[in-house]
Amino acid sequence: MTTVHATENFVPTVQELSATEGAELFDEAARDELGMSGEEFLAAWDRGDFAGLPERPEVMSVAMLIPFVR
Amino acid sequence: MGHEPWWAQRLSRPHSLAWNRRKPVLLKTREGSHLGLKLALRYEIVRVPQDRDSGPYRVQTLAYEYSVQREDGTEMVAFHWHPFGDSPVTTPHFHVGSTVLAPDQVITGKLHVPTSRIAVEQVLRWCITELGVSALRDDWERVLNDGEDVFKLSRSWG
Repeated sequence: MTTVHATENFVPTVQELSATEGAELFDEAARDELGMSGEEFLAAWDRGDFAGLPERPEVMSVAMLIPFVR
Repeated sequence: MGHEPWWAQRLSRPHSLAWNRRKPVLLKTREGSHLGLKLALRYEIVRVPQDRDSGPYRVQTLAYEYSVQREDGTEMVAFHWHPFGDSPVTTPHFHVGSTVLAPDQVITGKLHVPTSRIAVEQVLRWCITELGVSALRDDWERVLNDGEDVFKLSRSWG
């Protein structure tokens, strides 16, 4: 679980997130994209609430980050 | 059994990479304006002991999202591939951003326009050659070509 930052000399640095940091980033993504917490997103994802909604790319943007919390 | 290296438990399971903590990286254009670039990947580390050139381990992309935005954060175009979950669209595609579409057009930002598999180097090259982004180094073309060559040699499909 990693995040990449651009530095002043433009050479990217890679930061590996702890489980807590990963969960914070995931929660932030769910709130930004869908207005729900990360836990609420995971519950909805597991229930299949988003199945068959290809017109909502923001759902997949959050789902991309599930490995940060699982 | 020998002692397992610390990263062994990370093999063959999905990981996420969020460029710049999901915030767009600003790209300066030759005209002085800015574009935003957001990148996210799912990847796994796989063991390929038979691969003498790039083995014994390789990072394999499982999904990607590359988004090019205007400076105000509105999306211009987004290249997606997310073959997991329940989405009925599991092949690579792009979305046209609302900034380049008129509201009454047939194509909307919600449509999935099919593409081949896209490497991040292709997106960066497009930003430089067609969107007017200034490269930070003179040898950008060689760097992108080298990276893309590795991608082409090691990709398992597409």
